[in-house]
Amino acid sequence: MRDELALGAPTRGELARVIESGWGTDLRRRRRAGENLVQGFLLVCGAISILTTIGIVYALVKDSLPFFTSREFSLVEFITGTRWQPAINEFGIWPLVSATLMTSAIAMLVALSLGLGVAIYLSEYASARARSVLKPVLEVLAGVPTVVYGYFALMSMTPFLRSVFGRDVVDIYNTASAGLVMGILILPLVSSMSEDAVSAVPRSLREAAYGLGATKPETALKIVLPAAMSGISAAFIVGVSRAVGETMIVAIAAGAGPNLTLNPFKAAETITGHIVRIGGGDIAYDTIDY
Amino acid sequence: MKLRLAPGQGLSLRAADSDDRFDVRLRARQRAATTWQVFFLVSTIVGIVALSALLYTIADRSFGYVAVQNKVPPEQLTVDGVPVEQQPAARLASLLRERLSSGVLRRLDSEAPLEERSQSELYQLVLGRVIEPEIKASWTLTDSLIRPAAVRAQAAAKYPGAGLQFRSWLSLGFLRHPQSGTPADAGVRTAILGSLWTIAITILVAFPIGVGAAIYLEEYAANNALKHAIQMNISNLAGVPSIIYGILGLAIFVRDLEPLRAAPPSAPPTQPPPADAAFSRPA
Repeated sequence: MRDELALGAPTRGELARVIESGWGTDLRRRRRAGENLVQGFLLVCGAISILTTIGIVYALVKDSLPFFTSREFSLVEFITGTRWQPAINEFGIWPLVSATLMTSAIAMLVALSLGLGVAIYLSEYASARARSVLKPVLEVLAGVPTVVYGYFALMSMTPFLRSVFGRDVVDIYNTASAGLVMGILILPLVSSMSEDAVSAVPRSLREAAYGLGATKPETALKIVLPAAMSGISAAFIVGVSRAVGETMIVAIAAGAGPNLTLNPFKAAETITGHIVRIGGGDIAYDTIDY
Repeated sequence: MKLRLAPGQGLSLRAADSDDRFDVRLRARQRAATTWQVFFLVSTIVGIVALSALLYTIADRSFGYVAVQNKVPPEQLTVDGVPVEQQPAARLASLLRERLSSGVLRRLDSEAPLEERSQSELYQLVLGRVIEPEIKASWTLTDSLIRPAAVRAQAAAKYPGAGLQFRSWLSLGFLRHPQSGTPADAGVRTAILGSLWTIAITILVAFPIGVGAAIYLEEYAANNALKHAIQMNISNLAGVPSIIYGILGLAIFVRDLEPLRAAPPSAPPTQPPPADAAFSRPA
């Protein structure tokens, strides 16, 4: 027995010495020299995300702090004012916010209702073959660049709206066509996230409902949808954030002048469209307009 | 007793009269079921229709009839029955010499003497400077295919001197020409090159950093606050609207790193802020 032990197993004395010196120190000193370098580089890669967030906050605060602390600015007027004309020092934010809210509301109406419909159809009704064809086709809608959607809104959706509602009701630049096309853009996002959520609902829930005599839509709407509500609300939030931040469609199709109106057929400028117009134009860097 | 159950019809264990109530409700529920099914199907179809409308709009405007008006009709330049595009180089060169002004001829000769240019080059010059075709109007593909007679009538009425040609706006020239003021010559070459540059730089920056961050988070990072901060930041950044990234780029890469840039800045960096009343502080 002593011979077997001598081959590889440590004796009691050796074991005691290793324990006293601290378990891991020998191993750590044996690491290769380049490994720390690699780990440091990868850590920097990960930390770049934090740096980017800090950079965004810094960039936004640096340029807007002079505005918010200047003498001409009053918070009350900013929040409740209804005219945005920096040239004559009128700083009511409502025209921009209302246009943003209107386009986002129209977009979410379209995207949420149709997106849920698509999700339920694909997960409950469609055959596997139909699903394998329809899903990629709808994903293509998500891949189209937003500039193309903007021109589609201007060139096709607006004439269509004008032919339906009349040329004097609908302006050439209006928030309705921008909102509708934005809804088409967000539709695949909402539908794919909702479909994942709906497919994750266990089959036993559905089968129990069918066993009790529910029809397919009743099961889908009253059993499956509430069960998938967390995923669907996540889809809703992602869709809303996408709609609010959408720039190119509204910059091209919605208009170029802040306008406080609840009529979706008139031109209005959203916050993002305003940023694009001002940032890309020839406003000097240090003026209050910027 | 034989039980036959239709889809959506459940088994009722109650008394007989409530079976009738159940049956009445059943028909209403089945009608509602059909309506909802139609709605779900229509939602899917709307998505497909939107995509088709997008593709159709693009294709519709890429081909069609155009009304072309030439300043000098090419028929006038035919010599001995030989149309101008087939005439020899020497003939084209002498045509240019008699038609163009001396200033233009001097400029062209200083680049390369007319007699030494190739026939195709001279024909392009003749086309551009003597014949000078101008596109007066264009029609969509559907109009051109479905109502050609109406298109012809429209063209004859509004542009009597113009000829009607079927033109494909998507051509090899479209990819090779740079931007231009005349729509007939305009191309996307500069735009495509710019896009390729942007994509190349984006991939060179995003791919290594992204993969590096992923490997770090998966293999190396301990489960501490830093790891959670990085993961949270990555999720947040994915949802930021792209215009905010534009502002970030403008502020940091364009303004703050201005000393490192090769191009001269758009506004002199030492220019004092304009005397704007909003920024003035009490002296």
